[in-house]
Amino acid sequence: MFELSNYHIQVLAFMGINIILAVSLNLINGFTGQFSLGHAGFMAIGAYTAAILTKACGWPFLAATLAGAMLAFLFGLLLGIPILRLKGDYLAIATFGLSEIVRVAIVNFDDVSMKLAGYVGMGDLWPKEITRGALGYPAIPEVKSLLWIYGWAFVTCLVLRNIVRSSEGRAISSIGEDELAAESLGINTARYKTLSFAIGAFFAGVAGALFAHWVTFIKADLFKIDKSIEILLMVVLGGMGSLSGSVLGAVVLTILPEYLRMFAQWRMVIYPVLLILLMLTRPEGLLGKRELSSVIAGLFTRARRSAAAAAT
Amino acid sequence: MPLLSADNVGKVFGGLTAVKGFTLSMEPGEMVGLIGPNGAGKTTVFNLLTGFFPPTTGSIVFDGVDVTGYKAWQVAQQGMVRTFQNIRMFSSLTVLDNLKTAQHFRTGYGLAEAILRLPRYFGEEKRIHADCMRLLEHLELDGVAGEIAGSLPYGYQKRLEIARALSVRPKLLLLDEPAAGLNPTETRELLARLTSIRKEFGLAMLLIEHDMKFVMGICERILVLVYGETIAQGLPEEIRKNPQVLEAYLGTEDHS
Ligand SMILES: Nc1ncnc2c1ncn2[C@@H]1O[C@H](COP(=O)(O)OP(=O)(O)OP(=O)(O)O)[C@@H](O)[C@H]1O
Ligand SMILES: [Mg+2]
Repeated sequence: MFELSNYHIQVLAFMGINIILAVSLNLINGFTGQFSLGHAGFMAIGAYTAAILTKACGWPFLAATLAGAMLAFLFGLLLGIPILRLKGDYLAIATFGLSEIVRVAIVNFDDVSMKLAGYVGMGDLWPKEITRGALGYPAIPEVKSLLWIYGWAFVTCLVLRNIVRSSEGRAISSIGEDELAAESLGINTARYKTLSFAIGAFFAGVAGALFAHWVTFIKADLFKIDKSIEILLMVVLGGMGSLSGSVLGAVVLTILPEYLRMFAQWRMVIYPVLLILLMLTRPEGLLGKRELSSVIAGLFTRARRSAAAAAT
Repeated sequence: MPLLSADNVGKVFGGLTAVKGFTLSMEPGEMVGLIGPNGAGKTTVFNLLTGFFPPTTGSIVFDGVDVTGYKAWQVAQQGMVRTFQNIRMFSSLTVLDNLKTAQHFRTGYGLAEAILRLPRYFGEEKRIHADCMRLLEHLELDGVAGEIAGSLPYGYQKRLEIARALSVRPKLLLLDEPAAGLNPTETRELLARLTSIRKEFGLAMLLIEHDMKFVMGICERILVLVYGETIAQGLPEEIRKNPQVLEAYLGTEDHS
């Protein structure tokens, strides 16, 4: 019997989590065309919220995951309203700033909330340690289950597919295509930009919760810009506006660095070079805006056509 | 009650008065032309009427609702829909999806129903599909329903933009130079098509066009805009003979 080593299981777990992250970021960056660099921030909100709820409050894993995701959703909704007025580079910078604020807030949460509680005379009641600052949050109850991760990955893909192939999804895609034209057809673009941002944030929150309970130790530094860029690269590699492309991108960019580990010192050279090559040769990503199913169907009809041509 | 009544609408960009004292009243089903030399402010009038720019002065009442200061999407939902001088397609969507997108605000299911694929989703999608296919047939675009919009020839894209605007079910359609860039055959086809659209959908149209013959052939009433001001309005034959118009408009017109 073929046995998966712990190492392989770990890679598979991260792959599943990355699939959730990439597919959900694609809704924002690909379909809605709103360049976000803040996905790691929403992941952090989900990770910390769920970890605190399971460890300190004894919540069941699923409930804690949903709570973390909901909080990320609410943050996305509230912050999306002002931030999504910005466009292009400005939006990218603002979303990056947003995720930095989340990170810094997590680091300083205990001190600041303690002081605030003191002001309103609740200093004695307030727990001293909530996020545990820069030291990180240890001993999170372990949930090392690929079933949970891939169950959520499946749900994420299904929900996003159903959204994209609906009237709401068409409104979202039309913004990415041409915002002014969308407005001219009666689409409240501000509303749908915010909604897509918040839905993306929700699933980033789910991914954060899954991640926290897999590694059992998290710290704010894990959710820096590097992580956001990593997710963005998966989306770009797979194709902005292709859900199956993002799955592909997540798979490739989870496995590839593992192989490059052998050349650890060269990793930071090979990785960017591969990406530059990709941008030069295939800027639309592996699948462009198409889905894997239509690409495969296209290959079949082409094969059939050439077979028919050969027969005559 | 008029369908549209714009009263003394004006727009100043920085120091430039692009449109001044624009006043227009349109009845349901009426066909009005808006002409004028390059930079006269015609497109700006469209942008003002449809909420793309807030007017500096004046008021706009559409279908009994004061839409002054409304956002573009709110104006469109009221039933006043425009096309753009430079085509704005949803280029990587199919022709059919371009039309379906325009039905969004009239769709009778929400996000939850879409995610859970409840019966209302399927019912509405079926209705939207049939509705858009009928429109495509009417504009003879049903043959390319599944094509990617951006891959179509220019003439088709121009037609698709009109079809997409019609998909909103407007009461007033504003067309910004629909014949620009079309060859004579296509222009003649467009003329016939607009007449038939108007009969079929019973809507009013406001039309910007450089091609004088085109406007004269289809509009019941014409407004002439020069440097943002309406210098004349009336029946096509009146406009044709108006000396002021001949000087200001035709004098600067190098083609036509
Ligand atoms: N957003 C804007 N900001 C500043 N100035 C503008 C803006 N839009 C239009 N203008 C100016 O307003 C004037 C009228 O422009 P407009 O596009 O309405 O003319 P037009 O009659 O449609 O011309 P054309 O026949 O070339 O399409 C021009 O001088 C133009 O430069
Ligand atoms: Mg113009």
